[in-house]
Amino acid sequence: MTFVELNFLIFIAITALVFYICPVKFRWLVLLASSLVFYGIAGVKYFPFIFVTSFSVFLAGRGMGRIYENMDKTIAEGEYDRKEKKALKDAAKKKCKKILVLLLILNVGILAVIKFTRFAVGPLNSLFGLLGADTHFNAAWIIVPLGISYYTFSSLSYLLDVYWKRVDYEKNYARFLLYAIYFPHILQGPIERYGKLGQRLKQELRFDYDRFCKGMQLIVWGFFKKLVIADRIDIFISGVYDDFRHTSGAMFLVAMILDVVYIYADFSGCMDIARGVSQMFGVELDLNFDHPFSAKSVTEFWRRWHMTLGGWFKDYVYYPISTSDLVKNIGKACKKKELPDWLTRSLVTVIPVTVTWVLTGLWHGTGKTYLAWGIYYAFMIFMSVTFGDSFKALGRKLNIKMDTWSFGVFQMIRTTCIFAGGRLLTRPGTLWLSKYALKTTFTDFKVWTLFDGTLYKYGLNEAGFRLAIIAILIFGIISILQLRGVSIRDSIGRQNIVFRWAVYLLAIFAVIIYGIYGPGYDAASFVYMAY
Amino acid sequence: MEELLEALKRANSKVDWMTDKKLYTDKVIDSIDMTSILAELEETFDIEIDMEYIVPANFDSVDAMWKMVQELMD
Repeated sequence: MTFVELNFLIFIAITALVFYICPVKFRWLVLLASSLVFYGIAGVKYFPFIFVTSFSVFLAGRGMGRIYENMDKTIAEGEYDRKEKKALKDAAKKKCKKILVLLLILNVGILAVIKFTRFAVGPLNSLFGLLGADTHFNAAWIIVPLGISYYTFSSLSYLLDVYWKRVDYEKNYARFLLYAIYFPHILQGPIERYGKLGQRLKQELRFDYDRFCKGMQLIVWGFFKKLVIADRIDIFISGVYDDFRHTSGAMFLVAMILDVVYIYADFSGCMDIARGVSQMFGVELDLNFDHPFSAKSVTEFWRRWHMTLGGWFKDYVYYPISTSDLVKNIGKACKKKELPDWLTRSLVTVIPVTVTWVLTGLWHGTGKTYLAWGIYYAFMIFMSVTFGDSFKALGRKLNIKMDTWSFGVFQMIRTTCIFAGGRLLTRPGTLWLSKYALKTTFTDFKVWTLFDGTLYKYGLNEAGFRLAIIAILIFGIISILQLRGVSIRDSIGRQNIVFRWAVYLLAIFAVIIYGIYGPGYDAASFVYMAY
Repeated sequence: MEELLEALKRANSKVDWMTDKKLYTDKVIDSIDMTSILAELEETFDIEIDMEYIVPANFDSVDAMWKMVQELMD
């Protein structure tokens, strides 16, 4: 069951009914039961995976928490000097580290086997074939449990937070399981931290009419982005890449531009549905998008796009590496040798940035395209972090006014182009096709294909294109208003009931009438569900 | 405190450490500065700053850093 099925709406309605009929103190159990049902509908065969991860992490968290508790008690009860206290702390930390490493190996191992086996089987079989061995590996037995990347990352963040004493350990497995499997965020995130979502799920979940209505509004807006915009323009983009041999450079360019809108509408639409559903139950989920295309640099973009994934990698990969002894020693050596600032920054940044972005790429997918995507962003971020100040200084020397709105627009377009470049590496499916599309754009543009009707030969007719453009304009205008601090939902909520309901019904009917459905419609085409 | 300010200046002499802004949250310092700050603080005060201490609240002001250093020296 995905978010864009009628069954999902029925599921939500039943869950909401049972949730609000139940006494407040049992409501979290309704959420747990409905999450288990939701997960079970996707496939009972997936249960062992999520139970192994959640239960092992829960036990490890409890184990580490108790070790720290005992250590604190010993220190509080005895009279120790600084060295003795440090020895006690080190001993506790050492015990916890053993648990942590074991659990990381187990859970990252499960994720890696599931995600990488299919990718590795082809090259392995070729290698054995070249060596003349009669060995053939088969990856058909691999199943990919629903939301494995999301619940594994959420669980690991809890594990590391307990190890670093950033959160108190959870004593109730059912509570922890709810955090891991909570159905609004299991499909595509956000990747929530236990310190936030775990606590929000423990609050008294009372009915709030305004919040309930706002949740429903957000769901309708999410459906609009997903069904009216993303799925509509996806028809054209898929058509272009499927029929690439008969496609002009102009068509590729339109597909590349629309692909940026597509991925944003698809993913942020799904996040709106997830957050809206969760709001209906009184539980806020973290924001995953904050107007990413208003970003003026690639580093800012990744602070606004898929924020919970970026935050996860920053906190659990980038920082541990950049504050490791290795990187600190590199920094010290650079200072001793009095290397120029840009070189010091380069040497200190290169390892954490490369590791973080290659892993981010591999989180998204396991093929060469995602590896290339990771390296591409590692390079872009490295350039931005290392030479950002030098570029600014150069701009000042060239008398470029960098505080003007026009320069700001230029920076936003530049950032969007960098993002489109990254999408070009992964969307076509192979690096060969990415290269072919880029080459054709520059060498065989055929500008007239934009005006002679060719545009409408890839599955999306003229009316469909017009509708997509109007919907994208609405999306753009609302985004700009939000950026200027206007809360559309609050603003509509303040209007008279007739106007308010006219807007709601208009939005609902727009989704019903103009959404892309039909036979063969595969709701699994939510892009980030595959990760 | 003076010793801390000296260490921070060695980490990055271009930063106005006494600014009213939140050093980390308002991006006065970045992740690369953090690497230098940690190295300088550890060397100057003979402490080990574990990941549990590396949170924005501990690096948003000189006072917060001083508090953290004192806690680690305790």
